[in-house]
Amino acid sequence: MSRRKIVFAIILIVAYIPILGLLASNKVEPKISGIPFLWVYCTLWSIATFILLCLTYIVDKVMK
Amino acid sequence: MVANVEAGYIALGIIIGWLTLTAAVGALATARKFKKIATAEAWFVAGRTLGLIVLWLSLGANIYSAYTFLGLPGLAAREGAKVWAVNLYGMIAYLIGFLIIPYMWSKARDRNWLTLADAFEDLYGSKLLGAFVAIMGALWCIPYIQLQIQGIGYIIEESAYGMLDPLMTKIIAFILIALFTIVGGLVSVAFINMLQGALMLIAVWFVGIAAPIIAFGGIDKLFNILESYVTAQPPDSKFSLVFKPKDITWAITLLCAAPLAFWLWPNRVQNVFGAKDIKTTKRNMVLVGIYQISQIPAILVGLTAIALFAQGMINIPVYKKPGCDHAFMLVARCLFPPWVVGLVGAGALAASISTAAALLHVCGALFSRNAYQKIFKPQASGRELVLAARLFTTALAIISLILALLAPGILVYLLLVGYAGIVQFFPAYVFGVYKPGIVTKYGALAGMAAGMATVAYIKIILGKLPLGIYEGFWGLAVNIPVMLIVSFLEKRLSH
Repeated sequence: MSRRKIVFAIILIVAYIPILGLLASNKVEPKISGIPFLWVYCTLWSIATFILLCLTYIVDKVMK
Repeated sequence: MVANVEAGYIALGIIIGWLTLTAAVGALATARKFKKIATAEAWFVAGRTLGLIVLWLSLGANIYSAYTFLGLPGLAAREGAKVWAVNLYGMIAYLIGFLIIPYMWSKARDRNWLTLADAFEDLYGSKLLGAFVAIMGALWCIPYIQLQIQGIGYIIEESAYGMLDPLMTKIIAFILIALFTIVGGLVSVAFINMLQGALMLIAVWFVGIAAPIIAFGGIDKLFNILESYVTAQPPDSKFSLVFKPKDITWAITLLCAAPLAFWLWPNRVQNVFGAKDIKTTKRNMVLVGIYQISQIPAILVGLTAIALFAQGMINIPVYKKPGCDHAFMLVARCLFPPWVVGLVGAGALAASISTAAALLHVCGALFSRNAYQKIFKPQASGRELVLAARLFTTALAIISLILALLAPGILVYLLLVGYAGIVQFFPAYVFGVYKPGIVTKYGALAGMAAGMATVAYIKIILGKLPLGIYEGFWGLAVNIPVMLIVSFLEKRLSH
């Protein structure tokens, strides 16, 4: 497997890692800026996945 | 409900004006490319001419529909935290898309694939398999088309401020979809979608950010109201700010299965095949991800709806079916003047019509090219193919309308049924592209058929999810072993 593919595979695994924390984060407290903890966790997961997508694009360009 | 005639005329007038504008642009795009439209490649994949901006906005409008505008706020209002599983699988799907789509596009160009079924036919050297993928792909699109008809009906119903009854709004929805689909091929659909995609993006961010601030003064105050609602909600309300234990299994299995189907929806595959080069497909994966982020404000609208209901500012029970899927438009009506409702309604309607038109368009293409031409009439001319596509499209639209009238469902769950069916294409597709020779054509066929039968059994006969596991995941659990066993046996027998 090429280095590029390995990096892509790692990025994909990283995107799935927050699943492991889903049970632990499934709670309202502590709230962050008045927003339940789970909602902050899921919002950050969603935004982080988008950042990973941008990262994948950059990696693809650089490692071409 | 008492009709507010003046408000209804303002909102509907803006919606009709917007639709007329987009239809005119679509017709102009078709007319300019008129000579090319008669060829199959122009009708199916716009002659592979779509540039970055057109492809971005049109793909956005193609993917994001009544499901995002109405379904997600509806699920957020009805069940709360569960809605995150739906947003997250979509986001993960973009990463998977970045890995598979550019390669898929290159293969499509090199081997002249116009549809997903072309890919299967070519990979497995079987016209039968191509026809199976074409027909099953179209059939699994029915719930997706049904949800657009229902959604458009809800938008018109709310924008009319009580002037139109639900039956009439669904029939109007059907007529609108039919008109926009018949205008032309992917050239015009892509140009119409481009305008729709731009408006829907503005509308969802505006309402999502403004609604909780106007209604309650901020997101923190919105959650304070929701916490009070959770403790005092009606007995038949399922709203929760955390995942319930049974929802965790569903969420995890959904996150594992649904992203695999995201890029195998026939309309999405075909839109991607329309890209002019591989660089455009890659940039698009990132840019269309912006639409996925836009689901977060849509979720906020759903929460605002349930909070407004808790405070008595919305009288319709948005915590249960079918009121939940009206949440987005009810919030717009409750907080904004009719002209804003008209603009927001136009954005939501635009999103739904564009998706429905793209789905019907591509289902027609699949049928005419991969079933009609390959199985029934190999000598069919380009014009004949377009005619067959349009007839099949009409039949699908009518079936979807009947289902929308007689068996309306919750919008998000309608789409997830479709996902459960479409994901059954994934194992055979991946083996065919990346590891050819392991899976045989009958193995692929048996696996997909078994997976789809499992999904249908769970949804239609069983009526509940065994162990709380998403039906698409169950389908894959049956699909993959059947595919491998049949392939092994086929190879043994042929030796």
